[in-house]
Amino acid sequence: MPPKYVVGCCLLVVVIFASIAITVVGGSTYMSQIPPTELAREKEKIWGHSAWSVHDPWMTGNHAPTLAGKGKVIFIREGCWWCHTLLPEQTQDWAYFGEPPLAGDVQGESPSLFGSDRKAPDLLHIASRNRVKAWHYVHHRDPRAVTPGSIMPAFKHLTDEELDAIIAFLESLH
Amino acid sequence: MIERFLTDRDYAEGTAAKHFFFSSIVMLNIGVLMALGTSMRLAWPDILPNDVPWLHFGRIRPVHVHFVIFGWISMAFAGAMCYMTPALCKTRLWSEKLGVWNCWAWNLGMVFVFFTLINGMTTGREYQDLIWPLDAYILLFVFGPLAVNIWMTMLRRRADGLYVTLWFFGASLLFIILSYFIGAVPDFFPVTGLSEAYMTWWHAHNILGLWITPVSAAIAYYIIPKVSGNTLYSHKIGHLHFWSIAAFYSTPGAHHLMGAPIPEWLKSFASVSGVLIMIPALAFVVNMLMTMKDKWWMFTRSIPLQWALTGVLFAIPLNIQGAFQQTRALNWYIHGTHWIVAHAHLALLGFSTFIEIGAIYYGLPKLLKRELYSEKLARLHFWMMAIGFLGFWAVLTAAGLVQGAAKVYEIPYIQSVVATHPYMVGRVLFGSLIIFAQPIFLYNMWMTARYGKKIVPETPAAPTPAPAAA
Repeated sequence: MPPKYVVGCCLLVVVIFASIAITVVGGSTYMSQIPPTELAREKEKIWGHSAWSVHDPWMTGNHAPTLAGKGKVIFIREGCWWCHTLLPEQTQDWAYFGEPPLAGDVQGESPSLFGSDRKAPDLLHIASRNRVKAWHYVHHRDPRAVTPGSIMPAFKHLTDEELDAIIAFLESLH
Repeated sequence: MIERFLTDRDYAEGTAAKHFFFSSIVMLNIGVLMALGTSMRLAWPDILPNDVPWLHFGRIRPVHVHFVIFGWISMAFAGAMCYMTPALCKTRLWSEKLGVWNCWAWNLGMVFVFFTLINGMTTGREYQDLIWPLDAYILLFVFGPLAVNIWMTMLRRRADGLYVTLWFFGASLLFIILSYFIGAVPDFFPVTGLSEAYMTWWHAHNILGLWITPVSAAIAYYIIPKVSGNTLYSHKIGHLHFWSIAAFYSTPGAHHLMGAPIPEWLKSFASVSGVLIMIPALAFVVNMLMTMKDKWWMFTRSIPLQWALTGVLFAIPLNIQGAFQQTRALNWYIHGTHWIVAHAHLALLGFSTFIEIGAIYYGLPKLLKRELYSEKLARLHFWMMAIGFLGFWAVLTAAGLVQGAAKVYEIPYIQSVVATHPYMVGRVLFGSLIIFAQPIFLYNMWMTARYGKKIVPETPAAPTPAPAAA
């Protein structure tokens, strides 16, 4: 191989690894030093790790530490997070969706479910806005019965047990 | 010994590329069918049965995203690489066998992707939704063998120089493997909280920045000079494009988290390098448009050029949007709205898909040694896609601005849902044009393979020499 290509390949590897070092390694090292808040410690205890694992291949949430933890697994499985964000934004959203999270509030959480494509209300403080359990039960089975104009799917296929878990998860978001 | 096994008594030249191109068209059809489901669900939420979990929005949305990115776009890339790399290296593909097996392993992987995502088996991290066994599968059986095949072909080349297209092919394969691995780190290691969110979005950004954008550009660098008959306008601008992509496009992952509580220095770094993406983007567009000098009459005559150049033209609004919408000045208004969805489709459907379809209309008839079955159907395909996409983009951008205003004035959320309903109906209508154009594409290519007029070479082509022994 001509020397100019060897130099080029080396330079390319240096550039890409320098970029990874600054952004991924630098950023993650810095962020890993942020201590979890009291709230984060509490959430980690009740939710646990909610992503897919070999111990629960069908994402039933039966291994979660609490009913709210099971609810978070089902929240992920049913793809609720494709529309409902868990991140009130710093620039607005204060009056309607509440305070944005602090950096320490999400430490230790996995996955963090910030969401990116908001087509439905933010849920980070849903329990502070709406604590009416009956409303949530009806809303999940037939959203348009309580919120005319809503485009939320009617979750007819969930069992009553699963619905209990989802509502326990929503109640843990205060 | 492995090389002997993989290259001895190899399949006919072009077999791997044909496999990849046909698979990619099938994946495109599945991907857009999923999009029909999601878009109808957003316009009329009860239109599909509600008691079937596999038809719910949250289940089909990730299938759509994975089938268009890893099924359609990435497989069309693999086809283009298996076709263009040997042509530019004046040799055979290192191993057609490896390429064909790679293609079948890839298709099998997409079956697993479909099965897991439709059942809700996911990590809950966007663009890195796949469970860790599938992450390992994709690295080992999808991108790994493709990289080995293309790199070995480049090392065994008989041509003297390496053309721009080959720089991008070679580098992007390294980039996608690194990026995919970093995105999958939280699946394999106990990385949680902000670092996990950051790695997720670093990878999400770099699927586009270090894989889809550069490889699409590389394909345009091949087709546009080749079909127009002009030489590339400037190799120096090509250098600028290549190195500025490696330097600037690999760092702005944090701009997807401008509203999240990640450190401000990381956001600023991402935002500034995000604006610098204008450099590779403009270098590419200028280089391509100047290459067409004196040949613009071919824009409407040649089918591959029509597609590829339309893709290049879509890169102009794409990169202007992309550079500025992620700055703090604009991001607070449009973040998380349909504007972003419109932008993502401008990148994947406008810019990238148009160039790849150009590559298939150019490459597949050549590989099959047949003429395109129907030019009329190809034109119909183009205009359905072009009109459908422009309408789709306009409708979603407008809906995003409505959502942005609703967000800023903090009106009750349901009012923004009701206000965007007409746009969601528009999305289904324009989207349908795009969706129903793809079966036409598949039909046209299938008929080309079966009944296209055979091309008889004027002079018998000299057989390509066998690859040099190791």
